[in-house]
Amino acid sequence: MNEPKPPALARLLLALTAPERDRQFLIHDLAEEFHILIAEGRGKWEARRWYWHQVLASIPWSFKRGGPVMSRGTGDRLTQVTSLIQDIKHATRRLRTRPRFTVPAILTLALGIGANTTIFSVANTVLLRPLPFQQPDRLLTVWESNRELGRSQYPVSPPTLVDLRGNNRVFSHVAAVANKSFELTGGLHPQQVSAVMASPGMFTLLGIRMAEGGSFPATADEPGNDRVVVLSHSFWLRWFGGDPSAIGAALDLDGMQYRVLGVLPEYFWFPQAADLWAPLAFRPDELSEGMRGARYLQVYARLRPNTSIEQADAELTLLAEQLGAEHANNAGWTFELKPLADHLLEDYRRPLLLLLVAVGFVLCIACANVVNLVLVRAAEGQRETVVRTALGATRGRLLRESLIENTMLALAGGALGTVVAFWTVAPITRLAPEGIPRLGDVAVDGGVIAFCLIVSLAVGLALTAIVTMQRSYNTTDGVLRVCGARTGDRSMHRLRQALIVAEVALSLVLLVGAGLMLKSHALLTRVDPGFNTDGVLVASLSLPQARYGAAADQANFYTRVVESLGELDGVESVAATTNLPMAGSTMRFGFSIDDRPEASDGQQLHAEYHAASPDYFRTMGIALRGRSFQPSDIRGTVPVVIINEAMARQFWPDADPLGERLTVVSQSGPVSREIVGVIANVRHAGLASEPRLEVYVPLAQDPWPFIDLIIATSRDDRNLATRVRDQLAVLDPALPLNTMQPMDRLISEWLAPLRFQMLLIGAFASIALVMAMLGMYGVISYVVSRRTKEIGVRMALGADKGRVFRGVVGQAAALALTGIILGSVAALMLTSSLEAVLYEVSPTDPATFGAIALLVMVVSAAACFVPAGRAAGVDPVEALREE
Amino acid sequence: MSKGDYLGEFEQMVLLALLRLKDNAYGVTVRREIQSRTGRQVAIGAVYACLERLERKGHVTSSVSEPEPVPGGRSKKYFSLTRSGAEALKRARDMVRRMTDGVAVDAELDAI
Repeated sequence: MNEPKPPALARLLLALTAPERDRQFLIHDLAEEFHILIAEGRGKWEARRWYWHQVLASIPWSFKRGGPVMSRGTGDRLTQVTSLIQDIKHATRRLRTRPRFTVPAILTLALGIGANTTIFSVANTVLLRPLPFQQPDRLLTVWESNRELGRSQYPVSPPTLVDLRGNNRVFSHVAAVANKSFELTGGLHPQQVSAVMASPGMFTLLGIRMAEGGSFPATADEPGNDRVVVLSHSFWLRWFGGDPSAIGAALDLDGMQYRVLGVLPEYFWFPQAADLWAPLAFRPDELSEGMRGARYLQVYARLRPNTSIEQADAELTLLAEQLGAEHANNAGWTFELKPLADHLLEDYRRPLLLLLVAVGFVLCIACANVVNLVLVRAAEGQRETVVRTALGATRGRLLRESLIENTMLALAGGALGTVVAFWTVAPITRLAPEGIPRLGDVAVDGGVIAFCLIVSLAVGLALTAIVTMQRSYNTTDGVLRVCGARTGDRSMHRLRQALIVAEVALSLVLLVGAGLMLKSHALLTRVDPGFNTDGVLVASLSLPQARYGAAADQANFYTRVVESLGELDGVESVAATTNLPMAGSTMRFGFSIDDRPEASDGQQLHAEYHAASPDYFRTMGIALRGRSFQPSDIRGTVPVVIINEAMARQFWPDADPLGERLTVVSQSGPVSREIVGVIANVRHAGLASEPRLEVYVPLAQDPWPFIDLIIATSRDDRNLATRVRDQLAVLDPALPLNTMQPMDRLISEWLAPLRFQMLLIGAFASIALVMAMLGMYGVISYVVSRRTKEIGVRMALGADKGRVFRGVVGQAAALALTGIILGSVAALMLTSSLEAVLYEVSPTDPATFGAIALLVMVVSAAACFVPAGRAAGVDPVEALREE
Repeated sequence: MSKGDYLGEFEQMVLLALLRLKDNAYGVTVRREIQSRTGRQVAIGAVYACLERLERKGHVTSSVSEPEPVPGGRSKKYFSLTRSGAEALKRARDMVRRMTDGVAVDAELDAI
């Protein structure tokens, strides 16, 4: 067992800020109380929060007492403090009297630090914060996999779960969950509530204690004991108004009484959000030999103490071999383990890392710009420095002043950056696609502010280091400089040029990334999904088992729904199906081609399975050859099937499949069906997916208790949703209808993660470009102002304006070109990390690289037009008079 | 008596905590004593800042204990009341008492 420790960052902050004389006592005292809180059972999170609170609340006190010792100098504490305060006052005055330097510097840093803080606060919550479970690093997900069939990370079947739980020595807990929804009656209207069916030990496994009441007893998974529920905190507030007497109350779910056992704590988070939790119980027939192939359970396990994941893996491999030898349905299958954190976060790690790198670039560019500004200032202040050095100011003294000034600059930027982060975190989390774990918890908290503080201090240090390297304290050299003030800044100028090249290169990398994503997005939106989305509305509906248990009742009800909704004014056609394209749900069943055993090549064939109502293809605008389903295709008539083009091409490349027969497996077992139609391919799993094998059967021949309704409308009608709801209420007033939404939204939701990433990278790239160009403008302006005299001489000797203008632009172009070349090389190396999110665009797409290089070139030229014009406008007489 | 000799409210609480804790008064116990009795969130930094001030005024003395006899054992800084601290506390209480003498404070306050 590793004991919880106080948060390291907070401890560091305390050590940095506490006055030296009490530092050790403060750190030890807080650690002691932290452990007291843990021992009192207040939980690691609360203890950590308390610790942070103490540290942050103590900082002002530390500063009131003089703060940490800043320098090693002698003298008593009071002198040190007074001299520090003096230095700070001095630096403030210097910064305040030069607003033309200070304001742009602080704003640039605020933008850079703010962007970093925002993205860090997201990454901090989503990736870095441990999952809110007890010892989350011991939690695993368990999957079934079959190398021969190329199946990886399949859910687990109920009988295999029972074997796994009973026959292992590596897990202290094993539990499974499955999703479900209930119809809840007893309120004003019936409503659909989401539920997670979980093994009774699930909450013990996660280490979650109920906020009210208790959890499931161990026997809750025995049929008969399973009419109990645990409520989510939000559902408890919504349905019971947060009343503790809800414990023991009854809920009417799917027409049966469930007793409320407990309420989950408010902070509880789980990948599947649910209103309530019910025990997962298996009837004997669900544990039969045949059910070993029904893999649908998501399994979680907690490693025993002192057991490694490798040990667990080895033991489960043995168990799988044993099961494979005993049960045909387990043969060839083995177990696959994955840490829970990896399972939940792997999809988000890479995009967030990408964003962190992108904002890191923005910060680098911001720093380069500020260094440029600081260097100009240093050049201006050189006489002062030299004079002061000559009068006896020590190196250390000047360094200290410079450090204080730059740190104050960076801290001001950081403070403003925190404000930027405060403002941007909420809109960004709102814009973000759904499903990112714990996104709702993202906030600018103590950890994020500490990050911002550390970044600011690092920036202040970096600025000082670069400026100090440039500054010469050599007195003799200095005296010479006082006399010839405008020589000897060549190395500084070279550094500034190098910074501009780096800025151009970094912004080019970002722009190329954004450009590739933009192109990929544009290509995706042009993909034909294979169905029509204009004016099509969809809504899902599910029938409670209690009232619609029989297949015939379900089929009759669907027919009536489709008919009566079709009569509504403004509705062109109505259809129903079990699985809408791009909605994320699929069913896969086995099939075989009658009289052609060789087609399957000895393997079980699988296809995506849909049950659809007669008008489905017309309503969805899917092209069809042969005939569609008829209202007469009901149970008892000839079983029919419609296949898609991909399937026709694979199995009947040279012949017409119409009239051939397929045996399709479904809920009621295998049925031989006649192929009556072939439909065009539909991009069911997303715009970027290749069409798969699909079979469609009439809904009336194989009804399911859940459907999606598809309503094609002839005109835009805001009231249609209400009229549909009213019409349904006429047919069954107790039936809840989920939200209606336009079909377009399914596509835009599918595109949302990509669009979000593209937007952010694009925004950062634009900021980077603007900053790089401001830097370029600054440097070129500076060059022009320094060369005024030289230009004057040249013009006096006969150089024309155009030539001077071209000369300046040429200098900028040389910088930009160097930056573009270096940036392109860097981009070529880095964009391969984008490959996974790009659709039909190569990460080295020459067109994108070319276009972006041209853009950067043009913008660079524009940035130097003003200083070039100023150079061309130099009056030789004026310039020479200065001499 | 100069103004600097009066005790602030928080100073009084800290001194009273030292009085209650006798020879077990260090950062953790002082902070917890005040927090548990008053229900007020108290920052450890505030406690130390106050103790330092009181020590400067001569109301409090401190001594650092030997490290605990375990690896990495810590030493603690214990605080105790001085004669002058006790006097100051007494003065503060006397002042309140004198202001309330002859008044049924609770009853009068409730009546408002």
